Amino acid sequence: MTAIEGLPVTVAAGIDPTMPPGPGGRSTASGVATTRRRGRASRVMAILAIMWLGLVLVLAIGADLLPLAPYDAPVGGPRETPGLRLHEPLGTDAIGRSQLSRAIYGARVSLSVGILSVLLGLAAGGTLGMIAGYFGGKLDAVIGTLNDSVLAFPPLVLLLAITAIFRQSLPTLIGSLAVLSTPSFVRLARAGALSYKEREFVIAARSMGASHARILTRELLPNLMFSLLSYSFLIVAVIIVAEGSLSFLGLGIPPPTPSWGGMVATGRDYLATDPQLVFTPAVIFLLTVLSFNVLGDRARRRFDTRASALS
Amino acid sequence: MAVLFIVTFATMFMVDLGPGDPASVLLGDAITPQLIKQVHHDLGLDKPLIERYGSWVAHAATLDFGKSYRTKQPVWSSIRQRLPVTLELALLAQLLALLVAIPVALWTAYRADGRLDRLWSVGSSLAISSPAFVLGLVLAYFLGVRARWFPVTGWTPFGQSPLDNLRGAFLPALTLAVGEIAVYSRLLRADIIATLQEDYVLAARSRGLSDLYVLVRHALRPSSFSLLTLAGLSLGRLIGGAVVVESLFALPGVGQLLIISINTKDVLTVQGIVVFVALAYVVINATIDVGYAWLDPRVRGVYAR
Amino acid sequence: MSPLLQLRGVSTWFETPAGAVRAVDDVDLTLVAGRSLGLVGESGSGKSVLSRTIMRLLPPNAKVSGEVIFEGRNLLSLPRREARRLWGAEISMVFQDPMTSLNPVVRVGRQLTESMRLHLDITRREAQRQAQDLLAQLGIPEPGRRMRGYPHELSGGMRQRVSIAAALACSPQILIADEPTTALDVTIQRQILDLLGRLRADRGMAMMLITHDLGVVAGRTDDLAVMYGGRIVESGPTKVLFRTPRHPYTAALLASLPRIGARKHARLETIPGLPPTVIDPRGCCFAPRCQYATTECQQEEPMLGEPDESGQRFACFHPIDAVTSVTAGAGGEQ
Repeated sequence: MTAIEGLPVTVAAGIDPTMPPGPGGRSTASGVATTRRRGRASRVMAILAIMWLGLVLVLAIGADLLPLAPYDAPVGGPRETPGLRLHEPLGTDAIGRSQLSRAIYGARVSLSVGILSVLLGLAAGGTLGMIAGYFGGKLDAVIGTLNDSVLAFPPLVLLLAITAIFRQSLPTLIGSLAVLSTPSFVRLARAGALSYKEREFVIAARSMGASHARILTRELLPNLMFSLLSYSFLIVAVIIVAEGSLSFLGLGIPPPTPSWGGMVATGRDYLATDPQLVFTPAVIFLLTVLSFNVLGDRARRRFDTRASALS
Repeated sequence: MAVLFIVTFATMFMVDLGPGDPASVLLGDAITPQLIKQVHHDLGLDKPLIERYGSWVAHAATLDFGKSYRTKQPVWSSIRQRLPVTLELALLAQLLALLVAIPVALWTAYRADGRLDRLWSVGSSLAISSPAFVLGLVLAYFLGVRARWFPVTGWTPFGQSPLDNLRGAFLPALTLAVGEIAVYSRLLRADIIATLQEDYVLAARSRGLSDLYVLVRHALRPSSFSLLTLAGLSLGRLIGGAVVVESLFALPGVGQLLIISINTKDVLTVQGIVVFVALAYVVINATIDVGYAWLDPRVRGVYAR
Repeated sequence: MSPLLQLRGVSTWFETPAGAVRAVDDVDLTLVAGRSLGLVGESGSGKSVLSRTIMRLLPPNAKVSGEVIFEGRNLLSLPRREARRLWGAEISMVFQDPMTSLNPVVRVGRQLTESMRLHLDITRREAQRQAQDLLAQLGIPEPGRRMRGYPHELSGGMRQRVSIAAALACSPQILIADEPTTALDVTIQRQILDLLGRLRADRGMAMMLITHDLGVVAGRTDDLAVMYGGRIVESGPTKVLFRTPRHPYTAALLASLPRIGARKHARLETIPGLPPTVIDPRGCCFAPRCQYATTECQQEEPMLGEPDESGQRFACFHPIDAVTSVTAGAGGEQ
């Protein structure tokens, strides 16, 4: 049960839609056929997710090259509604700034914060977890206790506490989100290292006189990397949500730099009259998080089956 | 125990960690050397670290987190004032989540790979991916602004009008519950599917009992262990989520207090809330064991011995 | 000799990603009212799948064809709602492992009374009284206290008695016992088997006793059916089969049975090879392990013959009695 703690929502739930179907009281059901149908649906979802993330990523990276309106100056009247037109298809915000360009520059913040902090968390958590699992003993106990301590804070409360102490800035944000994502990786890497350290190839390396550092980097790391990376997608989703929540509360990246959470927050005052100000960034946000979750679920599932086939 | 120590130490240390002198933050413009000294003395910053920790823990153990420099009120009393709102939200959300998730899980496990099951696997992905601030606004727009079924902002104390109170708490609680519903139902579905393959379920079916009876009486309880663990853990997540929801629906809860305190640099209040929430989280997880005993008579025997 | 339960051409197979796996193949079997039938076979022979086919307890990826006739109705095609009225009331099942076949979180009393209250339409109090009597009848001390307890408080043998009580609660006409003693200690096995035999005789119930152990059915069942590779290879009265097995597989099974009066430290006979995992539709499935097998056995499937005057049937081209002449003939053909 300890595996559940600390992992993000989707991971903790142990969700596996391809789980063998139960006896639903049907003695003759085409369980296999429906699973296949389900597999096709999941593949379509994954392709859509890749397309969406690819689009967001390309726009975010190439934002400076695109003929976009400035994100911090008005380009038209306030609260223009979105429509199928070339000029500002997503409309304008409360003071007439381009929603499209704000959304694209907001993607920069969300994606860079999400990906960078998860990579940092992956590096820190992966290292600590591998060391804890491989060496065991006191080192394991110390790392485990520290990890549990971080987990004793509800994620958002921890995030807010850090924000309360430090100045709001991009490095602070990335740092605190990295802290938030670390424990999951520690657990994963530790469990992985534990299961691999008694395998033949590790024992063989050790008997040939390989140093601990060599075994960790050359034998364990390549085997663990795969599972850690597949979980990263899910954790990026969690971190993007956390970043969005923080921006929504006005404690994320300070304005005028746009962020999706901030766009939703400003649109909220006009919910009754101009709901598109909330819904446009909300839908973009949702699709992005969903895409990461869909890909994460798929990557993890594929990895899991491979792992069980190996053992 | 070690976790408790680190958690409290880290929270106490929070004040020191910040850039600059906490006194200057607290005092704002009215800085004089005497005042700084006074503040340092009040905060106990002039004593060595271990001694400070000792006295801080001694106070914190009696829920004395000091006095807010902003409101001049004891931190604990302002937490206590707002606690019922947050607690009601979290419990209501939890109740709502279980009420919806259990039947959904039973059905999707019973008709695994059926139409509803496949629909739900997509729907729950969507629910898991929607953060509270997006979901809350969507619900507020459709159920509050458009349909006018529920108020979008404000809070009526339960004592004043129970009905209005529940009406007002419904949207925020639902916002918190949706994600939990998705996670709970998926977890429980997987566990029920596994239980349905157990011999004792086959044996119950071989006695001619109806599918519904077998599901509810024989399969549900042995399948709920992971759900119980997760529900306990997610109370902490609900408290975190409550910060967003309280700010969104303008509810006078602990989460709102936290945001206000952060924005006004009221470090002592932030510190008090953080340590309180973390402690509550630890305590909740410890009490989950009681729930296990209730679910599984075998565990009961172990405790009695 | 009226047939109570009749299986006609029952086949069960599982759809797997690797293709269909046939577990039961074209089985004909008759259970006569008040008599007991032993169903014997190695693990993997399909006997447990057969019992679950009759009770419709198969996982969703299983497919079934054929008929199971009970009182003029086909149990396999009956709507579930109607079939449920028969399960537990007319046909019951005892499972192999009493450690897993009782729900650990439901009180013993409820597991016993729930089917009574469903099928017999009696009050809770009356059901409890009957269940308590039943437990006493099955030799469980302090039945009242046991009813309020949970299964984990009972020993393995006691649990199996409770499982049997749960199956018998509504006095069914047919009891299917799937390896009811395999998971128990040897000393307890005897007690449970004797108990089942006594209950069957007292209640005039028909019983299908499924086992991998010929020793279990010896002297206990009226009739015997031997299963191999999902097929019935030989059937008939138990006594006849024990005396004159015709199918080489039955003979081999009998030879592997330890006998009283045999030479001390005599080596037990074993059957070489392993039972087939996926059944090859061509030829006799026992052929790869049979010392009498010929090319005919590998190419054509022997059908279960008509019963002879003693009621014995077998599916073999080269039955034991005729072995010598047939092997000579087969040699001549080559």
